[in-house]
Amino acid sequence: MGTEAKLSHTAAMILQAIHAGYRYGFSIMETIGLPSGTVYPAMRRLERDSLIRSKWERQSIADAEQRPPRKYYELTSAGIASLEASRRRYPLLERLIPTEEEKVR
Amino acid sequence: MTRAAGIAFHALDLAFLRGASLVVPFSLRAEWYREWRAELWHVRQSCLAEGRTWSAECEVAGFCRGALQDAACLRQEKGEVAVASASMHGSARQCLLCLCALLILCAIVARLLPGIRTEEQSSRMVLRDGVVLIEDGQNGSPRIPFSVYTDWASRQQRFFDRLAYYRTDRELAEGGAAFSVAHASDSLFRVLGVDGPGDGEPGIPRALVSEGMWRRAFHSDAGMLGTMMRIGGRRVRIAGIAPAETMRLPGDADIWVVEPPDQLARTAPQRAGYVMGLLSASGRAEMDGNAISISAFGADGVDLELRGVTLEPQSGGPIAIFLFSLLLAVLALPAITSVFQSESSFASHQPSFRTRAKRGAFLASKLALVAGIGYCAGMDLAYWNVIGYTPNAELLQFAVGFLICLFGLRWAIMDQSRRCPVCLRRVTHPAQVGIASCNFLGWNGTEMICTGGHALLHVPSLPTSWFSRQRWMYLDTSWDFLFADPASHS
Repeated sequence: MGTEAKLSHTAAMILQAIHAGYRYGFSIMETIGLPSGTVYPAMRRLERDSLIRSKWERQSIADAEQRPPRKYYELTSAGIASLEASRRRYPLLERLIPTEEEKVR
Repeated sequence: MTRAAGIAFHALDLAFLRGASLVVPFSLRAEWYREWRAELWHVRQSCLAEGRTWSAECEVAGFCRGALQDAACLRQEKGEVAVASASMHGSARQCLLCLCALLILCAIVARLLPGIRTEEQSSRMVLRDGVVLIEDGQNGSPRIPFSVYTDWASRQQRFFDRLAYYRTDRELAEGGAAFSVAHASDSLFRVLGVDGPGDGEPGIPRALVSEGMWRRAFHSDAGMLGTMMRIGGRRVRIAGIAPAETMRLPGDADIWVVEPPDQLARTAPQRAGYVMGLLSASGRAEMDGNAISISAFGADGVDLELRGVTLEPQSGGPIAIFLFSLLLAVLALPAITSVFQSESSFASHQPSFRTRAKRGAFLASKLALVAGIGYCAGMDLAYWNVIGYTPNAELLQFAVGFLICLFGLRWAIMDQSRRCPVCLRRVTHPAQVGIASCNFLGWNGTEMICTGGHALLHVPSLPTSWFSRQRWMYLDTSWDFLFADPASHS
């Protein structure tokens, strides 16, 4: 997929959320405030287009925290380029979804 | 909200996710379900952090609803319906599930139809020991003139402790509906050993309505009990539902009216009716099989040749009718299908004993399910609009049961011959091979392949002496590249 391809607003928000450090489905959904029926299919499409990739967390980490393992998403280089293009298109995107560090502050 | 309700909601959420996962292409299904299940854990932790409330559970349920959209999206994008369902499509499991679903549906319908319940109850009903129906010994007619009954009943009986008489008439009720009304002596219910309608007000006979009529004419309304009804120009009080024993009595009465002796005595002498008797100890000793011969004298000294017969079921009920239709279907089966038409060269790779046992068990399961469907569907159709026993319903049950069994068993056997001997999946992708030969030396027919990649089936278009039956060819590992989906290799 070309880096200049136009992403939907939802897709741009998901990329921004992942970039901001929200890396698994529910945290992304909670951050961008869209329903699960919108967020998860959008993430499938982003993964299909190689803008994000997923990786299962190690079982030992999940066991230590007494929860099921999470499926983490991260941006690919194409995803980062697309996010840059989206930020130009949606200037408020960065302010809409603060990074986890900013949120703590 | 209680803890139990919370557990139930969680189970429902998981069941919903599991159901939605069926929409996801098979190759992605396990991971998809794992992810959604893990996400559900986080959602529950977040939503239920402040306690279990209905709104929190609704929020969780709303999250789960999104799973269905996600699953549908994945399926649409994957665009591989055939491969996605390869593990299930045409499999033995799918076949058995479909048959089970059909059987359960038919059985549920059968449970709901009042006619079937009545018929089963009636067929199971056994009359009190020693109760016989008196027939004319000359012509075997069960209808005895009233004068003969009164003459005979007035004498001292050796073989009977008690006698009862009833006659049936077609009479009009309020609204113009015609019913079969049985006018019975008050001893009838004592002969049968059941409770009668009891004593009523003077001049107003009490009546019992058959269960069939109660359902049909009164729409199963319990409020009609104790009400007055006008039948044949006079009023009777409905005292209750006639006991199941009365279903076994001839005459198919809708209403049983107990007449006082003086009222019954007004019956025309030549009016024929049914006479029931309760055998005494000496009468039972004289029984020859299920009948007893009775010689008596009439009022004018004429010999009366009578015969008492026990009321055995005409047939063994719906089960016996079905078993008979099943037997006939099995006997007729070879006429419409070749039972031994399959199998051949699998010599190099004979399926294991376990595989063959599984194949046999699958066939047996199919046959049993088809037979069950034949029974339930036959009952459903026969008693769809019939309440209680009718000869037509029995005939219809027999005909439907026979047809379903015959063609169902044929289908089960034909289906078996089109299933891979290894994985029991139906062979697919038929391809015409060869061209018709004038001298029959060239082979032509259809080839089908197991989607699991186990075997190829050759079916000749025209059976010849050298290729008369279908043949299976085992596919070795060199064919594996054709079957990329690992799920389809079971």
